[in-house]
Amino acid sequence: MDTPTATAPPAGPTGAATGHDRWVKSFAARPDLLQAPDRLVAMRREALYRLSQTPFPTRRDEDWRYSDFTAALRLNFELTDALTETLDREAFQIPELDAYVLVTVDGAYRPELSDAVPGLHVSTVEEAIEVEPHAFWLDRTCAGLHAPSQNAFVALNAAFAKRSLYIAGAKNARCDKPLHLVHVATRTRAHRMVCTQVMVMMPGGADLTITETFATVGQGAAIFRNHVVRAGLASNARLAYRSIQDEALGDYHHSNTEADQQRDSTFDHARVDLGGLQVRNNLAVVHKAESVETHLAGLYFARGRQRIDNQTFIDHAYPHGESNELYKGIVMERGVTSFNGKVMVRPDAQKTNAFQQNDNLVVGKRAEANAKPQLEIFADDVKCSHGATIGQLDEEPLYYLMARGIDRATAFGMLQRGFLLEVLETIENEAIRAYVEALLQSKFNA
Amino acid sequence: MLSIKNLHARVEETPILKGIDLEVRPGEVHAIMGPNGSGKSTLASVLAGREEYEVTQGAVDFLGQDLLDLEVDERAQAGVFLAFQYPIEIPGVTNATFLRSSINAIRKARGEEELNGGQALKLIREKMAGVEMDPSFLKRSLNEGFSGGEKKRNEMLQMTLLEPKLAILDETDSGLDIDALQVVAKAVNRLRSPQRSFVVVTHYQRLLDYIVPDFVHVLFDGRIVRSGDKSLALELEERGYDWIKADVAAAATEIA
Repeated sequence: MDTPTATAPPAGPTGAATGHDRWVKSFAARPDLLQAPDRLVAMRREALYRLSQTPFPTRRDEDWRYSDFTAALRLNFELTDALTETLDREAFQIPELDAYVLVTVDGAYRPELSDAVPGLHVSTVEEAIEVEPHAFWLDRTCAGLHAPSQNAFVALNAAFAKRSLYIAGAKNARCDKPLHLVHVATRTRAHRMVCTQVMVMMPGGADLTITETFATVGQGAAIFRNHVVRAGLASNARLAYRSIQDEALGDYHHSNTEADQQRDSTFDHARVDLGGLQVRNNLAVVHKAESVETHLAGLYFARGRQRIDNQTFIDHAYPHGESNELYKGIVMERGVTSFNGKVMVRPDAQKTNAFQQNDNLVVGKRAEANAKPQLEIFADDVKCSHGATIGQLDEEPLYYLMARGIDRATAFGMLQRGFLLEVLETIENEAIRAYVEALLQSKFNA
Repeated sequence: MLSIKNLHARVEETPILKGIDLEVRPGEVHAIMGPNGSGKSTLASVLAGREEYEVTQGAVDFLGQDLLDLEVDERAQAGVFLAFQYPIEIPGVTNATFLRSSINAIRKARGEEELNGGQALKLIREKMAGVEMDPSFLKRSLNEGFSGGEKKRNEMLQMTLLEPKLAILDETDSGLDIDALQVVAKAVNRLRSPQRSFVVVTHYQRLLDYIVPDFVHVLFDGRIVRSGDKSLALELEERGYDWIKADVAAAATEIA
């Protein structure tokens, strides 16, 4: 194996501004990252090396045309250890939600701030990677984070994530309450990158619903949240994973979510993106066996100079798989949104049902929505459909509501909510839905 | 109540209204009739504040306020109600949410306390019976998939709930069967009072059998060319609009 070097990669159009030596220095300044089980330390070193071989994506890369972190990376985000000791978790809870709350602070799972979850294994990756049966799955999964196919952000995450959250569902059992993960980041006077990871192992027949939210404490410069989620679903497992992203408008958010599904499993993912200056979500779901079900729902709202970019990939590799994908978003002012939905139906994946829809509402002349459905179908006995729309808000409905005394702003809010309703309805938990609706209303009224 | 003086309006470059004068006093019902393309619906839309119509001349006073100076929502809040000829379908906004928002917007403007969900629902259900609408329509998206008759009933429900000072019905009778027509007429007649006025725009005399107007005006080529009482409507029913057109043409020749 090559060893990480302190020399910067050759100057070029990609990655030049973010010299690799910088990450090496950051890593060297963190001896705490070496205080971990050997396997994990080895993987961190490997990830750091991978980082030296992997330039950060730029807009010259086809799949990154609408995301640009180049300027952000010039901000010299510090990768310091966890800072906040105590916090009042009440402030981050979702009103009326009956859930087990798990808290991470600057990426590190904090059991003393979290609820105990009966029947589930919840710990740091450091603890779980030394205990079977968790070690086996974690070993492979963590190693996957520095695979050559991963982008530089994921490698960076794998090198610096520490005391990450690991959750194992209970075999053939349904967790009696949903989990609410609160990822808290500490804002400082210096720009900070916070690497968070959530590893979810779902044994056969396990059933779990997780909702995650992101929060910050403190005042200061921008946060770059580098978030990674890995889920493995064994036969007949069901995982609902909801991500509600409402970062501050000056912050950056990169997330990378991957789920592997075994036979008869169901992965139900919904994500809401309302905050962040530059947001990029990579989502990949791989069907590893027959009769797998995948539901993906996305809701996004960009205004000001926000850029929200969703890339999704569903890999139908086995017969009788089903996927449903619905993304809807509103973009206004100088916001830019992008949806790129790849669906692969491999030759063996006969009897696949794949449905994809992306609808965008563009408000104003300078707002921009991009939609790119990408279906690659190599099996002949399948049902696949996709649709993408980019439309403007009609004046007629606005006029009608106003003719009934409703002021323009309220009427506009009602129509926007109406447009997004179909996705909101995929969130079946009332408290969470009410929470998202309240966030949306505050965006509409901003 | 409503005083329209020398009102001119156009759509893009095409003049549609060419000098309308109309006085509506409290408690009166005025019917505006006329052939297709005479400007009836334009008049209704200009009064409601539709943006694509540009008023080029004239004035409209509503209870001492310059109506043309008010935004669409402000007109509704001031007590003007337009029953649409083609009510708009709005997916994702339930009828119940819409009705409650509307009731509360109007109440707020009047300085009354807003109704909570339960109170609003009770009131809405009560009034729905009057326009023979099933409560199941509350959960549905506003007008989405409603039949023509159902849409018009919903318009009448809104009018009943909002209790406007001036209601303008824009060809509410078009495309309705006799049952729905009677529902519309009943809704209007129930609301008739010495303080409330109606402007009923219609192509046919039929509706006026049920809503008996105090005045009938004939609109032709952007002007009111004849005014009278309800017998004028009957005359139009009998003789059609051609004799009016001929009269107007004759008058024009005389002037020339």
